[in-house]
Amino acid sequence: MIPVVRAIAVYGFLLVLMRLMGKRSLAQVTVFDLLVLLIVSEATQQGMTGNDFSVTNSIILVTTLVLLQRAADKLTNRSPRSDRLLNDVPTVIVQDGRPIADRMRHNDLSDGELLEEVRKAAGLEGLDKVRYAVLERDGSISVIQSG
Amino acid sequence: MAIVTEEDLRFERRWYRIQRVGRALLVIAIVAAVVGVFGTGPLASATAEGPGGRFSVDYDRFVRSTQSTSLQISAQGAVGPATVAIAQGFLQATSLSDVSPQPDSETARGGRVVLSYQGSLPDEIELQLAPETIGVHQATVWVGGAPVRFRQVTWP
Repeated sequence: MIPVVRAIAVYGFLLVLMRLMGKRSLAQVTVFDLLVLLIVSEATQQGMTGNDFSVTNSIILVTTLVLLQRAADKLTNRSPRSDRLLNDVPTVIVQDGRPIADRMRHNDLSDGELLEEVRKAAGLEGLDKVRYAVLERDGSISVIQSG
Repeated sequence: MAIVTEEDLRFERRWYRIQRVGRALLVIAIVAAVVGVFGTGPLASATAEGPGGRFSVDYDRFVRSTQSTSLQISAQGAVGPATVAIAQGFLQATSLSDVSPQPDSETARGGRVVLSYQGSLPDEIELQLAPETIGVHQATVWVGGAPVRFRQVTWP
């Protein structure tokens, strides 16, 4: 398979995989999350290069991936629908100090993880002073304190 | 004041359903990989028997385009001419890289590549193949003139 097709196949597969796994899949919560990310990149690299370790092949692969990313950025900037599909949407998970259970569950977010993020993001000891907490598209959590 | 985000609950609900289906499909794909549907596993290899069980061909049902594979022919009970032939159509998708033991001659005729041995056929013959074309390929191998047919799937 020619390198351009390999790069497109791997890019497309990773895009679908990461979208199916949800916002928190690449949030790098723990050291092990980071390790898994490194292993994934190593495994996909072999699939893309095949047996061809030449400089030409790597230049073709890198150029293809960068152009694909640029095309995806253009598409998501022009079309809100594509943006939702490729990049997801933010989700409000806490409103007026109360976690919204079904949204937390759908995003595989536990109470413990939420409290950890609230401590890290806003330095708060609990949810009672949280006006809104939003699970952003990159998997991070933004916290807005109440008045 | 309400928070301003690009939140879209309708989209999210639809997406949760797609996620559930997609994740289930991924689990099915991994189970399929474990049992050998993508090569290497209990379902990955099979044996095809010739007419009357006189000879057999061990082959891989599922192979990958960058990995070599082999056909193991057990020809102890084979009758007829001391030849092994492979359909040329199959060899267009999978190239023949080595034969052990080496035949005395190799010719192409009548849509087949024919490997001929002097005297009788060796009991065991191994054909090394390098799959090249992705897809489902119908293979026919003739041992002593008798055919055996099987399918091989080549994954990328």
